[in-house]
Amino acid sequence: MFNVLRMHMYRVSRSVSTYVLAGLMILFLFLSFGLAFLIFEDPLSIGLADAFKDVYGGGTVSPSVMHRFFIQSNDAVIILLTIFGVLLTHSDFSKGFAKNTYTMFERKSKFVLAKWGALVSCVTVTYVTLTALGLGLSALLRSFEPVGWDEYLKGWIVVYLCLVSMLTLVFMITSLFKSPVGGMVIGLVLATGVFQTLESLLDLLIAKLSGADMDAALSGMMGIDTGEKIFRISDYCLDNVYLSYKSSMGTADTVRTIVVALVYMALALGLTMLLSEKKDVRV
Amino acid sequence: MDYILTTHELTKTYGKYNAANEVSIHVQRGGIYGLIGRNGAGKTTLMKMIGGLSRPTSGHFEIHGKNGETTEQMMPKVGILIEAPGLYPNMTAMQNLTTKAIALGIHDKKYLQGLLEEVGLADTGKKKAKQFSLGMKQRLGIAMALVNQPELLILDEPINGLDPQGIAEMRAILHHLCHDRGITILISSHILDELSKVATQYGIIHEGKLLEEETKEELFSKCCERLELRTSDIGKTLQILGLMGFSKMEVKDDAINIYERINESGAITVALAKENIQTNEIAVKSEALEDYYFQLTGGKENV
Repeated sequence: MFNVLRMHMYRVSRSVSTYVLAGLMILFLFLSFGLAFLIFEDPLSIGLADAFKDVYGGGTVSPSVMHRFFIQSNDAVIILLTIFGVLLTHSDFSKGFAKNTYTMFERKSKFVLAKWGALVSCVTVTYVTLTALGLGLSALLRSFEPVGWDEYLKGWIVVYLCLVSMLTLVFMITSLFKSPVGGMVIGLVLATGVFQTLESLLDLLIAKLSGADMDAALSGMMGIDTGEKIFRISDYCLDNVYLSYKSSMGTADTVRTIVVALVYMALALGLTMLLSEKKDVRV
Repeated sequence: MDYILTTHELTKTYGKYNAANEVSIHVQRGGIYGLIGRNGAGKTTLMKMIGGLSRPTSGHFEIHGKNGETTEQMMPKVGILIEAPGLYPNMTAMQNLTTKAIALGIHDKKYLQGLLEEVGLADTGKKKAKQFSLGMKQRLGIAMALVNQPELLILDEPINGLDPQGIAEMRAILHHLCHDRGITILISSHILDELSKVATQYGIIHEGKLLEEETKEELFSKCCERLELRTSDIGKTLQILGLMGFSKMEVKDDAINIYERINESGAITVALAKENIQTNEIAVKSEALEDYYFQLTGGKENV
């Protein structure tokens, strides 16, 4: 199985699209840095930092804030990683290469696991690289304060788990439908937060039907914690927990985010492995 | 008989459609088994099941005497090329070969270079697979099927779409692999003439069913020129033919088919007349492989 993982890593390293996507990723990171410079350094004296106070937590321009800025809230990261995930998952089927390798083992799920392993490895390398570049660029900002590393590390792990989980969903859709379209759509939907609106509407509907306090429900929808316990379906939706996660959140919310990410990941991977055993290999 | 591959009533059903219907083939070790059938006859389905790409609806198969359920044990000795070779178009021949080799845990570049030499692709250098001719792609596909040093090579329509030069090259490669390296080959094609030049054993498949399985000698004896003789007394006729030194003959229905000295019809007629045996019909008949195939599968309109 490790050999199959190595094979996927080899073909990724030989693919032009890998380098194109990596180049685009770095380009978007530098564009984000330009935006960060405008917001936090405010060279034009237009007070953008205040306008973005709610979005980035306000106060100190800490590593956690910059991590959220450069990676978590950067749509380009999710979109480009989705494209990469789709290409990695689908290309051996679209080129017919899968039939050379899928004949070697009785258990096709081993191949699925190895390919997912290759995807996670690539995502990890990308995430670590983006982190290093992000921190390096952040250090260039005068307003950057290298404090709160515990919180940063916690957020770093949670965001990483959510990213891997989302790409596992892309992996599942692409593997099961043997088409790049589904995976791309999922990636775009996750990145743009289209589902978040639907999930919020569903939350309101559930609150209305269950007779919950609608003011508290609306406040929750706006991200304001009123202290009232209301069941919200969006709290268990991967895209929402990822986009709304802040490393300043309490332990309960952090644990919930981690559990949601792990459950989605396990279900998506498990289903892909299970169905790969049932279905014929179409190439 | 030493069989490297046997299938036992292998069946694949898609809904109500039987793509392969209780197919039982017996592939002798060291030969080339030609699977003949028109497009959609079930050849690829059968090969996909043997190759582990498709699960049989029922039945099973054995390779090296090991059951099809234990694919991981038997597949290391099987090389497979199903339909068009699956290649990464932006990779060179060596890179494509390396990709498969890594999956098998093979890292010997010299060995891979040797495989490319074996299929005549050693000098392709940095040329990408997308720039290859169809023949080159097929040969690279065979090289990839050979990476794990198989004892059984399964090739699905490898000569499909090739020009005469490409077909001749492919034939030479098949002969080399079978005779020089001792690899057993299971090859499918709907081009009967080409298959007849390489195969030593045949399976004729039609609408998912195996119609006949025979050796090259058996098949050719049915297809070659023969003297067809009908007389008033078959028993006595056989005795007389025996006395005349004929041995390659068989009785089929009410006729005697003689497969040697077919220009001696006059002498046979005279010898029979002397014994008061009436000759009702004596004629030289022949059947091309293609005609025989059409006769088995229900006529040219089916092709």
